[in-house]
Amino acid sequence: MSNSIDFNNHASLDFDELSQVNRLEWLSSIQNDALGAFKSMPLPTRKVEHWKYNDMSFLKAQTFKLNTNTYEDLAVSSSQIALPNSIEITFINGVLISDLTTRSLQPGIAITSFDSVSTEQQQFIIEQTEIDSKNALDNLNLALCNNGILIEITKNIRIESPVFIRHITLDNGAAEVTTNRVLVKQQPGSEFTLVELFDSQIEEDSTLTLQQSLFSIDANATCNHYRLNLESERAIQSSKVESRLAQSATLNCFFLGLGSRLNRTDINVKHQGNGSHAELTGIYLPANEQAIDYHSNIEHQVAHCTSNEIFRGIIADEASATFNGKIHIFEDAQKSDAFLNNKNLLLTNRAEINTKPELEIYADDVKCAHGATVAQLDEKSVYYLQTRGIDRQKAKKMLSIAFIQELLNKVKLEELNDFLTSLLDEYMSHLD
Amino acid sequence: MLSIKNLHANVEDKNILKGLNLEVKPGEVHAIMGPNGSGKSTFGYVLSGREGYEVTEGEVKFDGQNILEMEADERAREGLFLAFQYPVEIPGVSNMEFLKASIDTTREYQGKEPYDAVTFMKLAREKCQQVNLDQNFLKRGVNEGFSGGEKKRNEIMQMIMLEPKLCILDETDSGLDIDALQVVADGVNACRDDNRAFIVVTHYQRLLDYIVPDYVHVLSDGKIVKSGGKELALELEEKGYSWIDKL
Repeated sequence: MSNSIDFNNHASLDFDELSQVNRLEWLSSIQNDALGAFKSMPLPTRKVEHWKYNDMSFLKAQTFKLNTNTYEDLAVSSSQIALPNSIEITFINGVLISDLTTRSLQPGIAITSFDSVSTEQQQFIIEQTEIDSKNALDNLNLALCNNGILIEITKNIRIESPVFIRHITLDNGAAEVTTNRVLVKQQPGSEFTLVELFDSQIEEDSTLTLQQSLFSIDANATCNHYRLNLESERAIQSSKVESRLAQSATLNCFFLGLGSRLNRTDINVKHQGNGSHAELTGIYLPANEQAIDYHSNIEHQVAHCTSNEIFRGIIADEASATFNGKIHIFEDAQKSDAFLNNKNLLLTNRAEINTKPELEIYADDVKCAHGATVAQLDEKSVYYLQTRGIDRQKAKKMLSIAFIQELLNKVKLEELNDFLTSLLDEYMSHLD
Repeated sequence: MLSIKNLHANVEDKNILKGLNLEVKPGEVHAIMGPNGSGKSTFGYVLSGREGYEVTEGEVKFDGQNILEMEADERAREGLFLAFQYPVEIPGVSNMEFLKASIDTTREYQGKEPYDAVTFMKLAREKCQQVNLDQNFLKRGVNEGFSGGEKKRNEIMQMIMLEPKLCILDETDSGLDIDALQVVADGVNACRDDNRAFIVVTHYQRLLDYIVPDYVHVLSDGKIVKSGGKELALELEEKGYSWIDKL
């Protein structure tokens, strides 16, 4: 028995050789399938298109321990953001440490961990789980993950308090793989807000976080999702956020990528009911030698759906960022209206951006627009501010904040908006 | 206040200013006129400290200090103001935020009391009114979507708020209709006092009917070739710039 994963021999990975804790019988069939898929796929490398711009060589450079710590007695450090009135849930290195059974919540919302879901809930989770044909690491997460929660919102209920999930990563004595899943099931006409914060506090180890958040948004329901990665320089993440929208459902999501050695997030949106709308907003701010990669794929599977996606990045120092935004209009998806825009600011001549907006259209009566720009701070604007007494550093900061201000305005939760405004102000103050 | 001696300056290795001399005393208004390509705009950029405008010879003293070694923002805080011919648009930075940052840092540097938020707002609204700009402009991005005239009035509004010692107006009359010209001139004239000096750079004599100068200088090929009183502007208007080539 061992509890480590050697990516040099990923095809021979075997459950029998892993000392996993809390294996769940009802998940085992899916986990077996996912493991089979993982073993049969090539590992992510630059030779694979889907991973072209990510340096994944770290995978084979060390063996990764599988986290077996249950953190039962750990006092959780306070998080960077305080969201009063929120329903707070904490995971440490993928493991749920909040006791959900003793929590009294307002009627209309239920949060259940994987180890206490009912047969009916198990069925839902199994139905929602799909093997990923491109992302081997997502399959590895599915194979190994026994830590997950299911959030259910009842029909026609609006949940006032946001659910606030803190994904905390701590040093654990060795390089480690952590796994985790969050599933959301919104019944018709419901509305709720989820804030996910990835707060890595690792200083010594390399931790590979595998995470998946899955949203099933039923007819006329609205989901507001904020996903904030405020990571340490050592954090590595490969995760997937997928939303399935039924008729006239609305998804508003906001992504922020700050820090991390590598943050790769795949965002999938599937319009499956007529008249659904998705609003995707994202900001990525890599500095030093960090790498951030957002891969989005919006599928208009049926007619009369709309999407609006805007991502902006400011890349400093020797950092690199990747944005891949694909809009896929299916043959039956007439009257689709999709807009995608990506703008980038490179602060140094060593900073790197790989941006690729893609349209794949099989219907003939649609409206689609996409565009991407890469630029540097406008020297004329810097000079103009300087002639009004504002020093160069401050001028550059003002212009950088201006570049993302419009997107920041889309954060409707007031406490979160205040927090992000001061966080970004602070961050920009340290840029050269 | 301003003493320029034998100023030579290059832009991208091309020699534009070729030995310019000028003395400006407090309270004076100097007009600099000249044909296209004579170095008028370069003169303003060099004085304000724009990057890429390299001084190769000569000296510029502002209140006894050598400003050529200062960054653009330091010169501004010392009290030098350049009103641009083409002010840039900066979407995302509101006019109000920009003004506040500018005024706070300048007043702090000059050892003046900072304005509290209420006083600042009141003053900004008042000055908007003075140059006939709608108060909503304060909330909009800096010059974003402003018409040519609105941009120029915004420059004058900033000038009034910053209370500089020396104001350089770079073709502030270009692109203005008569009414806007009057508003801009009124703004400038309201700022005139015994301690503040102006350098008005212009193509045309027309602006000088509104902002009456004490001295008029003709700039040609990077040098001041003729100086005189306000009547020199009228003479130029009548005879054209080709007249000075024959001098």
